[in-house]
Amino acid sequence: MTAVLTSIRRPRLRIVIGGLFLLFQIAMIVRARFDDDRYFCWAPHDSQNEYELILSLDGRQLRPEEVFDRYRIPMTGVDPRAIEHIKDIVRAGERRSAVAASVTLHYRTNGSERRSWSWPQP
Amino acid sequence: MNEAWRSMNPLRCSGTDLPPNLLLMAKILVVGLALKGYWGGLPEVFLPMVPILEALDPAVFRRVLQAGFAIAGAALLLNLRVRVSCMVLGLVFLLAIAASLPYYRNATVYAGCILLLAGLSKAGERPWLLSVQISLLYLGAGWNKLFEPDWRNGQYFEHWMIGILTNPYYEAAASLLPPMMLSMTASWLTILIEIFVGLAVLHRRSIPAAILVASAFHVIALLATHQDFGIFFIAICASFLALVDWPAEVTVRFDPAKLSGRLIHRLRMLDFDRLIDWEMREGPLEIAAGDRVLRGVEALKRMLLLLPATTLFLAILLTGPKWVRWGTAAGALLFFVPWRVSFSRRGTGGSRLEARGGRREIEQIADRRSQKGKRKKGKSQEGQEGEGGGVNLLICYLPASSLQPPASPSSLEPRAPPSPPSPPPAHQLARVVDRLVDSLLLSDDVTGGSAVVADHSIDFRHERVELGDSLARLRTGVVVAGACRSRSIDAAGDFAAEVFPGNHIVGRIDESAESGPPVRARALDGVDAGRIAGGSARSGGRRRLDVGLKPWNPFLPDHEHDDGNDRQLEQAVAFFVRHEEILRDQAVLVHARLERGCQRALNADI
Repeated sequence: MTAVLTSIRRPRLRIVIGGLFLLFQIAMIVRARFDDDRYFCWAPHDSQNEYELILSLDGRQLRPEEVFDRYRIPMTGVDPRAIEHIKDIVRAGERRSAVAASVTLHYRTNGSERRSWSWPQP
Repeated sequence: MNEAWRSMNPLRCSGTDLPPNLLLMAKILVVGLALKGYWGGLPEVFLPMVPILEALDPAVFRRVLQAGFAIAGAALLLNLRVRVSCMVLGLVFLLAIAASLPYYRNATVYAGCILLLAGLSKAGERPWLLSVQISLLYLGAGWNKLFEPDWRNGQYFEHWMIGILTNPYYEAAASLLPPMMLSMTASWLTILIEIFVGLAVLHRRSIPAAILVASAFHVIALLATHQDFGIFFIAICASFLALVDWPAEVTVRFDPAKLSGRLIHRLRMLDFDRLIDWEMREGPLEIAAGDRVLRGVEALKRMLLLLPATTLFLAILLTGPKWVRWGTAAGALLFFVPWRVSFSRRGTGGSRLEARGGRREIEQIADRRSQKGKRKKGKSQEGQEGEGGGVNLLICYLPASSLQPPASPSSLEPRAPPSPPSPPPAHQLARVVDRLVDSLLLSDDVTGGSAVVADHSIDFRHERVELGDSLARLRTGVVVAGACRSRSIDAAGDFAAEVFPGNHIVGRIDESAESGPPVRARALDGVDAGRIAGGSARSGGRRRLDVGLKPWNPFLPDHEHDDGNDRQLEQAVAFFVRHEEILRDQAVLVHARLERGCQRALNADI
């Protein structure tokens, strides 16, 4: 640990680490032009997404608190991140769960028309 | 309280591996994060972005993050291992984000980034990593919005302000204009501001404008949306500290007889960094940093911003209830915005030292003399820049024949070269040198300018000191050159500075090392001056006990042998240079003697 900290104190290594860290962000900003998600690319509040998650498990619709336990996000709400982030959470959550639920995401971005997305995808 | 404990004062930001502004920035962030509940909100490993983290125990991971935040945060506040602490804090939040998709927030990412980059910065270096980070934040935000159709046509703003936030004022304003006009204007303004700030923070000269525009932008956004976006508002405001040049030395001059002066007298207690040199004197509040001077309210603002206690207090208020946050943000913006920028060269606030020959005449003579000095070193010597931008004063001694007052102010033609000087009588030379050195010693507030004793008298603040006869006889320039050179004095420019009459000022560093508190001092032509020089002094509430050295060679008694030998004087005056701090204290004290209004307060202070 001490050796790592000592090496980080060296000017060149500090600059390399910091520079790489910044270059990564630049790469993510460029990448955002070709993808729908907005991670590490400084796109705060680029869209307001009103969404509703409807989950069915064994023919039963999950309650809001069950949805929260599953994804750690509210069942309905407004999210200022890209809607792709909600979809990513759903995808990751369902891959992690022992029993996958059937998920329908209804959302409106910036007040536009209502759209739907489902998991697993047909 | 010993120095080790004092260095752990959370309100101190100097003397660490980080520049004071970066440390203050990091402390503000830590306080903000702690008070806004980010410590408790650190996530377990849950739907991680980096799959490898899934192998970790979620609860243990969270506790490790919390322990890291607590230990590193406490160490940072106590000025212990500040760079490592910053890196740990940054990594805590970046790891938290990597460990949990739902935890991802731009504000948290930003806080983690600037803490990590602050840890990679170092005292004495420009924190360009942070400048680029701030630039990336704004450029990225502006760039991404530029490609969003809903931002370009105003749909985002319209829906957010009216549909989601249901802001009645916005709705009312929008209804007065054509549809989407207000939203489109607001959208494009946001994009343009973000791009402007992103570019402006990369250029040193445009940084103040960038900070001003960005601060106004964020405060207006806070007030209009009623949202501070988590830690973002505090983080972005704190990160502007990384962009500013933190002064190494600041002087605040205030009048303790005034109400504002009494307030500032109290504020001195908050200067735990001892960044500010506090001077009591009559006149408006003044703050001098580098070669800049601000006065009045602008000086007060700058002074408050330089005190870590103020900014930390503001940060704490910004974590308060909604109305407190709004009031603090709006109040801080309105108060700290420089409504009237009144920068001026340092030293222009004092009384003027002018010769009778007229200002332009004096300048002309000074220039001529200065050029001549470059050619003939040893006669009229031009010095180099003073240490730390301190004294920057040239006193030119010209033969009387070249210094007759002009017939009219417009008479600016170069005069005939002076006739060869005749050596002054030894006893007069001693007096003149005494007065000259006295003037030099107490001109520490002067930076920039040339003072030309171009006539038979000098008008000081309240009285006229008749020096001309003596000075005019000081023609060889040898003694003067020695004084100027060793004081590291520069020539050129305008002169307007506070200079105290030499015959009232104690300026002689002593031949005797007699010590005694400099409560009372009377120095006329060097008499009794040794007491001050050899004693302790107190300035701005700080006590200094730092004399005891003697000049390498006796100074005063040797004038009669100085003719043609400037070595002794040069050495002696070099001694003064090394004791500029003492001289400053003397100046303060002596000034208090001159000003009746200040005298009482200062005596009480002493």
